[in-house]
Amino acid sequence: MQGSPTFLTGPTGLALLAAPTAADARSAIGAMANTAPEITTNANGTAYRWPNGLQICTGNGVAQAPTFQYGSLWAALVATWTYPAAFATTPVAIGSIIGTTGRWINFNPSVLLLDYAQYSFSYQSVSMTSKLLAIGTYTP
Amino acid sequence: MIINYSPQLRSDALTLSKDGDILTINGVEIDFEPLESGTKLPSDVCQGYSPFLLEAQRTSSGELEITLLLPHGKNAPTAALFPQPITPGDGPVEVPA
Repeated sequence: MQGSPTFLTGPTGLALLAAPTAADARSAIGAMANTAPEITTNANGTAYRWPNGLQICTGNGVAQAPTFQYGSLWAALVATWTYPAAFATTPVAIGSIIGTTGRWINFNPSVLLLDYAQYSFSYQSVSMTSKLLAIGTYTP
Repeated sequence: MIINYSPQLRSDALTLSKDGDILTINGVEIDFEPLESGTKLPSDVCQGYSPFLLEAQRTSSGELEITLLLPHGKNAPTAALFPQPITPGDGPVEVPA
């Protein structure tokens, strides 16, 4: 998060972005621990922004039930979560389903919003909500 | 036409005007007249028209329902943070900010 990213040259000559080092991680965590984030809550959830450009968004997913069969899997209709604050680049998204360990969520994040759907190995008619989280950067 | 707003903290702005089934979003005119009852535009098609257009559907009763991204600043009023649906008349549409 702090300083400039390191670029390496791969065997094809293409530039590669070096993976974050432990020092990078310590720096980011230190920035989070030592600085109170700016918090914004709106109808889409809550956004936490740190001065170093780190942004975390949280929100609630709609109730879904995996009732549509795709091969050996069952899926819910895709729903969309608009982040409460804009990201500068596509964030990483994760989430949890409240009430079961027998399902999981797949994500398709973009800069603006997140498409997501619950999946399971069996037909499940009970709708369950989820908690969603996206981590990325914003333009300070 | 019912307009729903989806708020997002961001630095740009939204301007709107309406003329029947035509909505002008930040200067881009979009005609929803061809959208048939009971159909919904795919989200990638919406985004192709305007990054502020999140959803567009016409209900089985023929009502056009649009969802727009609503940009707001850091210290926005409640009306922008938790916006209510509106049913605007023709002309410029007042946007919560």
